[in-house]
Amino acid sequence: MTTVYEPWNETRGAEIIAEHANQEGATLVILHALQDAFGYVPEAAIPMVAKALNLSRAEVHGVFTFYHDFRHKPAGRHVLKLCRAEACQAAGGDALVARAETKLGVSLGSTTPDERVTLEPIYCLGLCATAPSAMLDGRLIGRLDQKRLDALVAEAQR
Amino acid sequence: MSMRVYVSRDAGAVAVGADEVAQALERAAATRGVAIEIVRTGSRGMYWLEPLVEVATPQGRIAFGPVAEADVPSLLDALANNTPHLLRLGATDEIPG
Repeated sequence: MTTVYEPWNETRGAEIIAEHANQEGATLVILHALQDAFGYVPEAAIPMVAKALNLSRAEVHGVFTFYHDFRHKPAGRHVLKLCRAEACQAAGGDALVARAETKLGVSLGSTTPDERVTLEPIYCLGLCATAPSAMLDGRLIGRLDQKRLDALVAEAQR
Repeated sequence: MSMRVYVSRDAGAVAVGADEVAQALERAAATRGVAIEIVRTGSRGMYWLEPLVEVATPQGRIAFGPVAEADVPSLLDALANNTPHLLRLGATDEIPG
């Protein structure tokens, strides 16, 4: 699954914000919609959201930065998230993270120079019973081992 | 009468290959000309046994797990010939959860 995002555009951003501004608890909904459209939440959109919802910039910024799922800059074409929470660490997740970092040549939280793959930590996917777990572009993977990880990395690099 | 098989579509089961197993069951049954009805159900929560494949029999559901895609042909053989299978767990309801 390759996701193609549209480039940031103020008019388009304003449209997205207006579309959801009348909803109850619209901040999160709008931030999600912006990220779905542009692949990240552009800095310029924060004051626009604040104005539309009659909130301070600080309030919107606070929500935006509280949830690590919201991006400050575009991600690679594929996003591989490796779980770093307790159950996955106990099941050998650390070694798999190190392996993924070596294979991709980037550390957790970064994107490969060719912008194909973003490698990210995630803190619990609720798949503790089949730890270690991962997520590739929204697809869940449990019982991760070296072989499965290598296949995931290869898939993400395609 | 078609064979009725239950495969979980719970996120925890799908994460360990339940979709691939369901597809493999469908393909293998078609190749053998066996009528099969695959019911995508919820998980019983026994994640160490997922992907769990349950087969409806007059004596109740018989469970197999954890089933990999590659196990599907031998599983269908065992069902067709009523022979033992390494992944056969017996009646699902009697598995200590």
